Amino acid sequence: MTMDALARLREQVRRLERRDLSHSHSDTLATGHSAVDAHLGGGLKTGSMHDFLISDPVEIGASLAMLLPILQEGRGPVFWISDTPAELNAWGLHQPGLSPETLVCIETDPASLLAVAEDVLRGPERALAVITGSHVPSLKEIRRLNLAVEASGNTGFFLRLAPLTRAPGKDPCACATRWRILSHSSAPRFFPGLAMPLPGSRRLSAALLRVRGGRPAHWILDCTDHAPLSRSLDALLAHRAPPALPPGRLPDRQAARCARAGT
Amino acid sequence: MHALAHNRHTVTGVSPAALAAGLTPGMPLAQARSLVPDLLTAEEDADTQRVALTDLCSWLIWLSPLPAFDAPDGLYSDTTGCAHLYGGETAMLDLVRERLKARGHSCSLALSDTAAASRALARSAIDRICLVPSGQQKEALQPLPCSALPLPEKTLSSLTRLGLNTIGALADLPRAPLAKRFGAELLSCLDDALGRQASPLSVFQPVDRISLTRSLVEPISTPEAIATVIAALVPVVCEKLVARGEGARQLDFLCVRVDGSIQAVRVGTSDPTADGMRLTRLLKDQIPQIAPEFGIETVILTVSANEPLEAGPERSVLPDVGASSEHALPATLIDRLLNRPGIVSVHQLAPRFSAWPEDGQSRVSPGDMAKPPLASQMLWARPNIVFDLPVRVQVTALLPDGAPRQFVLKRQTHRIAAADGPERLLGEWWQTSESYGAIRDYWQVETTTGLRLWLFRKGDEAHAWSGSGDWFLQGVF
Repeated sequence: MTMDALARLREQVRRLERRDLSHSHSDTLATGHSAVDAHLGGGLKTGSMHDFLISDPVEIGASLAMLLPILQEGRGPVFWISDTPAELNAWGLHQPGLSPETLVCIETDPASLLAVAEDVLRGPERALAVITGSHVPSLKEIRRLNLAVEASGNTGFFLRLAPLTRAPGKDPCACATRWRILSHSSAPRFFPGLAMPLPGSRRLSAALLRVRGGRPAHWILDCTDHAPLSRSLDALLAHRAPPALPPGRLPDRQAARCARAGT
Repeated sequence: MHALAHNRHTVTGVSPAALAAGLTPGMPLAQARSLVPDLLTAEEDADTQRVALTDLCSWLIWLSPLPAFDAPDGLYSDTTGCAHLYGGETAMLDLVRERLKARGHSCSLALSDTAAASRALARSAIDRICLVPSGQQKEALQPLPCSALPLPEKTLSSLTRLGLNTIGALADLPRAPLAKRFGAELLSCLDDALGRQASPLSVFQPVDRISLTRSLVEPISTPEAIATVIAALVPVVCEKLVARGEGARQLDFLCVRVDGSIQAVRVGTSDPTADGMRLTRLLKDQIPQIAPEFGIETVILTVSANEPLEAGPERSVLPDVGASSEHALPATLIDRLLNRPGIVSVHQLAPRFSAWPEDGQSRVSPGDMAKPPLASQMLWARPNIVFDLPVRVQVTALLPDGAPRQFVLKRQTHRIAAADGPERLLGEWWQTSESYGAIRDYWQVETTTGLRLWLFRKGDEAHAWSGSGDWFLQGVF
């Protein structure tokens, strides 16, 4: 207990001192895309705010495809703060690895959205906060949240609707990074006998519009499933168990294995 | 009821029916069984009896504020000055008996000047009311056997051997030889019963709420002053909670204003806590809710719900420890959020198995999540965003295998570049009649711009009963 607690206290002290020290150490949350991580020096910085712009309501999937692995990387529970009921789906979130146990949805008044976010981010408890809504935060509001996350080391993400035509994302930004992530057509997989090809692995067009102390950049990212099977093997077996063969038809070794498994 | 005494089972309590059959307490169990062959017996359980007696004792508080135990099966109640509330002593005793009967107890009641006399009278008879007028307990006690007094077994048997069967006979004897032979205990028992000496009752105090009231010297109205009062009250409450080994689940903070009206604030916690810092912060967050107007003259802090504190002394002073708590929900933060004004709901999403995806999850309060069903068992990918109300889309072209080629959403045409499906879901026919036979064919589609959407068609196109054949957009991957 003491080692862990001591490490935590040291970290707290370091965070307190950080306001004076410019060369302080801060963690990063890896995005999982090596090109992006190399550009950002390891990933998105913790203890700061990040801004994700969504150009269209149906484009939110692309931003989530980028954001969910980052959230999973971060330590601590995820607070999904919104002023409308979240349309998240627990079954879907589970598949990229975000456990529903660590996700807390908070629905607030539109007026107190940022105040609640500040409360979550400032507290001594570890938390990751995703702030969704169409509200455009002003520079003052973001700086206030910045102070909160700097003091606590928590990380906040804005996930807000900003149509490309109305808000090109060139306005000044107090967040550490600002992203606009659009979906990009993937390489379909053609199979004989199918009229329509199957979708290939997901492709994102990620534009890093602004980054504090860095250059903007643009990537086409492939979100690959690293596992050869998209789902776990037991799920596949549970749903598509091979038909049982009569025992005499099995070769000896397989029969023996079946017998052992059966006992 | 029987218990083991001196290496044999003895009957300790009997029902009215058994009493009518000739069984009495004190009889050996074997004898009782020989008298009544189909006797139903239970062994005495001292713990359960004590708990039941405590329950009954805290119930008896309606009669007078001073109930007391007479273990193992009796209760005292000091009703001095209470009788007029129930219309006189006789009416009061009738009422007590009636209420005890309603609770399923058979009882015998006695009311006299002294507790010991009442005890002796009540224990000498079963199912009877005995009311002794003031100053006449000596006459009432005279015919009773000595066994009605709380004397040791040895003293009782030697009294019987001497032929002293009644209390009257005992009381007539000179005191000095009695004291010399049987010790002071017999005399003090006798004196208690006859009212020559009063011995105190150990009054039962039921566990009540922790409540603190502070009258303020000057009416206060500023937030800082209220915060100071809270900071002064909470440590006292926490001390009391710790002394009891309990934690608060709900606190009520009442401010009585100078005009007599009350401003009430209630905060709840998600787990029992006696942590002063945490409770102070919760209460201080509520200060904007209090309207002091002309000033607050009295504050009351009440623990309106408390529970035993789980963890013992090994709870660390340092902030939460251990890797296991890394992903655990911080209870303090959840409490602050739940009590915060401006929040509509705080919940978690628990996946559950159901036919239609829009019913596939339920909202549960934080930390209340049961072990979730294995989401990895879901064979098909599920979108991250699911609309509760599917959006109607117009599909204008279909391929031979039923896959959509293009669709219109909000007057914008999307061409589909790739599709995976169909995944056929069947309605829960056992729930409602309209989902009987209902079919949905789900397709994961990717448009030419790369959007990944989840479309479905109601029905299988072939049968009208399976659905209308309309297309809907249900989710976004």
